[in-house]
Amino acid sequence: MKKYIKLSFFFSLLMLFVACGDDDLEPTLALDKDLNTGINSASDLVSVMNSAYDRMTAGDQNGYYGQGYIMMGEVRTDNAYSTANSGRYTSASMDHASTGYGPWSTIYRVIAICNIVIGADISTLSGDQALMTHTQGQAHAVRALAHFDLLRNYGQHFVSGQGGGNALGVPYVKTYKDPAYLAPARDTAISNINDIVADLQAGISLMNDAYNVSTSYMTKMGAYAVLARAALYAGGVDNSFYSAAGSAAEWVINNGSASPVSAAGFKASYYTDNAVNSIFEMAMSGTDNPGSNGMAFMLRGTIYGDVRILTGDGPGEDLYDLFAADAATDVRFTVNNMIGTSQGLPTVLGKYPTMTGDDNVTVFRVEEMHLIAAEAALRAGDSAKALSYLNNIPNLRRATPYTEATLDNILKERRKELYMEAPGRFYDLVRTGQGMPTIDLVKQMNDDLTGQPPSFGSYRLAYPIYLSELNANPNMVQNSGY
Amino acid sequence: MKQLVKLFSLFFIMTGLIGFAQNTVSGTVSDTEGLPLPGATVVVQGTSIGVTSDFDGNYSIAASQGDVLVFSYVGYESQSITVGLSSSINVSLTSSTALEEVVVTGITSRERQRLTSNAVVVGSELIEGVAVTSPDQALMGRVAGLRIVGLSGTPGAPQQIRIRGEGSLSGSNSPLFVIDGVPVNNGSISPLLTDMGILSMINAADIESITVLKDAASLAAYGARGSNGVVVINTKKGQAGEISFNVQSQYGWQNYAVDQRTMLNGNQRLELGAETIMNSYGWTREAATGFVLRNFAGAAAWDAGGRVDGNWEEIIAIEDAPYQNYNISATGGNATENFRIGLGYRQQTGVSIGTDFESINGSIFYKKKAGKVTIETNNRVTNARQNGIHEGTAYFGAPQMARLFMSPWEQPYNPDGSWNINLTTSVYNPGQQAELNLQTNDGTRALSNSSVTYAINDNFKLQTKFAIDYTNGASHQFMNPHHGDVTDENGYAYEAIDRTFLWTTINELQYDQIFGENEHYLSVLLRQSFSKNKSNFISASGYNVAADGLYYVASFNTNESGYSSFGDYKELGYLALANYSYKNKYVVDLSFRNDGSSRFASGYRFGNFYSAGIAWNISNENFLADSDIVNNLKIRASYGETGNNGIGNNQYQSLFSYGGAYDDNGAVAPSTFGNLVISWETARLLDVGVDFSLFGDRFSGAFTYYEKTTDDLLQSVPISTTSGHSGQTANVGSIINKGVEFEFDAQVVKAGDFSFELYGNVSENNDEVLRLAQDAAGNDINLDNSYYTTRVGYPRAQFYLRTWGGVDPADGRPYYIVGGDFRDGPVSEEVTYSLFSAEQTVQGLRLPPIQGGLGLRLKWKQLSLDGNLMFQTGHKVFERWAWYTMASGLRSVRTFAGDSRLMDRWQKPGDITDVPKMVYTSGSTLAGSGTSSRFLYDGDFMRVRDITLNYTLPRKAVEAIGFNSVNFFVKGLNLFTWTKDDLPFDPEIRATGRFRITTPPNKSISVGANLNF
Repeated sequence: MKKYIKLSFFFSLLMLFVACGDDDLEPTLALDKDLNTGINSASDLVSVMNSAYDRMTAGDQNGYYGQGYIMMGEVRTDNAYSTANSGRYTSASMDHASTGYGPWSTIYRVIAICNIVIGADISTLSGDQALMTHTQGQAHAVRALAHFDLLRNYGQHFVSGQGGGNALGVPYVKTYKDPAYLAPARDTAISNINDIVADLQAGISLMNDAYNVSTSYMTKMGAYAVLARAALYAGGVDNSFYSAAGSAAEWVINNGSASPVSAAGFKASYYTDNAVNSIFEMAMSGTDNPGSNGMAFMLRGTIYGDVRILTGDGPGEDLYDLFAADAATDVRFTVNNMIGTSQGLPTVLGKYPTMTGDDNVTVFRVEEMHLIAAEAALRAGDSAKALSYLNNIPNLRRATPYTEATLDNILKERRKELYMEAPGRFYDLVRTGQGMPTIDLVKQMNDDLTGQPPSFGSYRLAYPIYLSELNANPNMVQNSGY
Repeated sequence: MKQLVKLFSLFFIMTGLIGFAQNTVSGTVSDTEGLPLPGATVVVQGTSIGVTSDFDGNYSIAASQGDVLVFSYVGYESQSITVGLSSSINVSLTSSTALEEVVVTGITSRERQRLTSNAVVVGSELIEGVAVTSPDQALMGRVAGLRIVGLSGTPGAPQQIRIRGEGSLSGSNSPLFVIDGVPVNNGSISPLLTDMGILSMINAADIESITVLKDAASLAAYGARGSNGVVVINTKKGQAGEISFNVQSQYGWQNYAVDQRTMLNGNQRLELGAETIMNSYGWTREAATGFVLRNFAGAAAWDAGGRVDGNWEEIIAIEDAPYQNYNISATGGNATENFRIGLGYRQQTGVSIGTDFESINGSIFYKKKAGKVTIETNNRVTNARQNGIHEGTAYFGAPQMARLFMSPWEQPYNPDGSWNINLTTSVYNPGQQAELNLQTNDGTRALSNSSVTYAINDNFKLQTKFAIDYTNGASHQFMNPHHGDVTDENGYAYEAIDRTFLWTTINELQYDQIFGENEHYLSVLLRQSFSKNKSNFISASGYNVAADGLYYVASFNTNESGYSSFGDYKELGYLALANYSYKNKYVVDLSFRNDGSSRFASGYRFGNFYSAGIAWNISNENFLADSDIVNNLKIRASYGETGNNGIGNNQYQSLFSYGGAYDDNGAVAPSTFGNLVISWETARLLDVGVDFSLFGDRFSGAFTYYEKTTDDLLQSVPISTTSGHSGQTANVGSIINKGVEFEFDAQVVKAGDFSFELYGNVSENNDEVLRLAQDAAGNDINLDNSYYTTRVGYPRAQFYLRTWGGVDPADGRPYYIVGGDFRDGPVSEEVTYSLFSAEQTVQGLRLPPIQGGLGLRLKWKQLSLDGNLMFQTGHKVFERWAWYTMASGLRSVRTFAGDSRLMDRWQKPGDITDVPKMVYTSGSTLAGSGTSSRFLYDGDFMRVRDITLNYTLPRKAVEAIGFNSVNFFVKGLNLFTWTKDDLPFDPEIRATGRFRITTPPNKSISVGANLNF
């Protein structure tokens, strides 16, 4: 009996001691760190910047350079179409629901990371100050690229009646969690372009080549490449930008570490990480396992494999037509197994060689810079220089060189060299004022609304802004037509 | 299995050898007319020894001379008799006006007449045999205001419960589960694409009753976790008396509950396929048919093979899938020491290929009283193993996906009988996948609940309780390298271990005193509780297997990766309860609770919750005491505040998460936006009701009106995604749920051996959003998306879809109504042929505003028949995936498969139909199957939930063979279903209101026996 009394009192006392106050309810943070105390050193800052790159590798339809962004740049054009084998990329029809489409939030998630890095007061952090300055330079350049990629898909500058350069662009976000800027309004396209240029210049001045690791990370050369691509595109809005595109491209060609890959090495450059021609690429390792969210799966998976090379008898030229003259020799075509059939349908084989998706995805390579330099020279009236830069490419591809540098020839060479890659045929079409060429209406199925592909100036050239964004942000304006 | 049963038996008979010193008193309990009262309670006063009488009113209890036996039965006056020399006591009870039923609320147990709340109790007889997958299934249709649906028909899958609607926007809307007075975890083991509910690891045969708490008076005691209602499970305890054994066995067969839709056969597919080209490009049928046969995947082979369709349905559905359930228990002891042990085994084959479930469990209850101290311990352990399939959405290779998406032109087998894996479609061969792949959840759950009670004197009692809830879920997935998602990676294996450990300690002081001649009854309880939950998760995966027959990650050496996580939370609560009643006429209940939770920031962790309830037992007043008409009449009301902390851990903090990687280096990113000032959701509950029993207790019931206003809703308030985040958790918004509930039980006929009883419940619940978060400009942030709208002044998340118009008889094109409830200006009645030109419009409710159940109980001599149906009405359900299966385009006749309803398509001018003409498009918009109200149906349905025919062997026959009682039964579950709109899928849809691709709910027929000896 006494034993039980003792026992019960012992228990009671024990339990009363167990817990009693606010402090006892402090949760454990085993996986995460509090944001305010999470960045303490140079290596912390580098790790944060890594997540910006990591977020850039997002795949799937609304993803970024892992799959979606590249696919949507091609599948809306005369290069490729969707078989809808697994129901993916049927948005190639460009008939978007007004509830929103595209990589809006994916890309802003990249920008948020850049802003954390840029906003860090590095003088209070331990470690190599120069490395942190370099990292902040990377953040500026990546932030510029991310805004550029948003502008190209949501900006209204190529939509009829929206005001060209003064049309709505996207909000250019420069701070993280700034209470005054949590519901940003849309800036104009031209102001976006100016911010992009300013960010790239800041990045160029902060980055230091001594800290380059590989082209899987942003470098000074990378920032110039972004500037070249962005300025060339901006030329479509305001032709004063072409000269900046040319000088940036020539800076990369003359001062950068990248050089064009030879004909013999062309195919290998796609399964070599950080190949000689690489300027900036997304590191994809075996542990990333993108599966159906990777490029190869969508181009030629036994299942999935929705995106295929578009062929047909329509008025436009398809890729097979373009390569026809040099079909027996051009290393970018079937003769080198870069293009071929899979499950009986023509597709891209060599640019994304492994099905498991552990090849790096190239975002910028130096060949594009030669073609940008050619176009800028042409537009500046120097056709000899233009032809010289233009022929640098066919000469390395066992293709017939051009006799004349015309815009047509340059755009044709861009298609042949850069098909199914990050630059995106779609953006070439719109920046040069072209509508969607017709190759095979049945395959393209742009027809959900009108039976015809959208012409230049159609509201369908821009994606609709997401309903969730419009609901949460009183300053947000939907794109015209949606 | 037989071996197992033998082993069990031997084990149990051995327990019979354990001796207990005891004297036994036995006899019969009957009413004043001499009819036996089955289920009457016999208790030794001042102890916890109690038994219930059997079907014939017989009881047997351990008691010795001088003990006082209290006999009680619902609706009858209790009687106390002191045990004398005789060991046989027969009593007859007189009918009373007072309901003496004791209701266990998890914290207290109290006679119903001293309650100010209206708790619903579901007894073991309604749980056994009905709760096939998990015990909460027994509540289906039995409790007014409670909606429960299975999330899948896969055995072991969890259920989804909503009590009085949904009050939270992004917090949890699930009730709290309490077992033997201690809150436990609920949820599922779910790292795979099949979930196993952890409630499925509670053996239904071990449950004495389930009490559902819905109102302020009972919920406020649960403080921060009470606002979604509480389900209290009371397990079986030891019974004093000679050791007796109970053996239950049940064997049944299951099928899909509803005959599902039929899909297009091969010839129909060809016919419609040709029409896509005829209609879009003006070809002749002959030319178009030729084009289809040449160009559509699989058509040529099907044509060459004599146009024989693949019989996929036969492979996917398991007909008459068997299940079996065996339970053995033993109980016995005496006044100071008693026990119960139980063993159970359950095996269930799913109705979908590749699914089955098996569980084995053991439990032991032991109680010892020594003087003023009583110790009690109650422990159970279950191991359950579930083999599952991909489900939830349209995974290629999921059997139920293949039912809707597999082309009939494809063949399941090669000519040599092996699986055909060279399909010309994206859909995998589900037979091959089910046979070769593994997707297994193997869970072990241990629950332990021990207490020491010290009775200081007759009025004061001190109790310390310690409880453990441990769940270990091991999941294993293997995908074969020959066919399916990982052929390119040459096979894949994944293993995960999820461990959750919850411990709770409760200290309480209870004071009970009766003053005067039963005039004043006072009960006070002070209680402190603390609990800590921690969970560890670790998983590993790899690709590329060396050889067939290897299933574990260790053999998959390519791209091996690992993941782990840890999370914990703690809760601290102080509770004070007081209950006072005066002559059992006037009852007052008061409660106050102070709760702290680690999910909120320091300074915002503690919240106060309270309630007050009053009740007036009018029938105990003198003017009604002798009434023949009114036997019981009680008016009750309660008001209080309770809370909800059902959000994720660490949400208040702005966090860096370290899970990412780039270039195989660590990547750090902010995972939450953070908000330091978040705290509890608060629900204010008001209940007013009447309980009554009339005409000699022939007609009884309860009527309740309630309002529940949930304020400070914890929600992820949408913020501009330009911030890099999609939302910030904050306490904003308010929702009100209000409604009425009615329950009744009527003895329609009671004559001699025959009785006929009707019972049922019906409830109405309506909700309205009162307040939402606002943006910087002061506008409400409406929570609209492509399916639902949530706006102030409207119910939460109503269907919000573009309005389907129909099919133009002139040209077969689909058209829509522009609509637009929330546009500036009047709603447009205009017609448009462009889906996206139509505006989203409010289309109806997701959850049924009215639901209920109706049952009957027939008894004639040894036979009894029980039947129970449930119904839900007034809500809508949406047919997801119709954008493929009902597309009048290539999705249904080329890429995937079509529903046979497509045969009603428009063919020529003048055709009146709601299926558009076939067109050559791979999208859904022109094909008429874009998301619109076309695929929204009335959700109204009625389902015969269970029918049981029971035969109890006559007592003499039973005694002759040495048993106490024997009965046999045949039981049918979900045998008949009626849906108003002739739904192409099962009407039991979870709270989203949208059809999901899962194993459908089952119907079953089973036979079984119960033996007591």
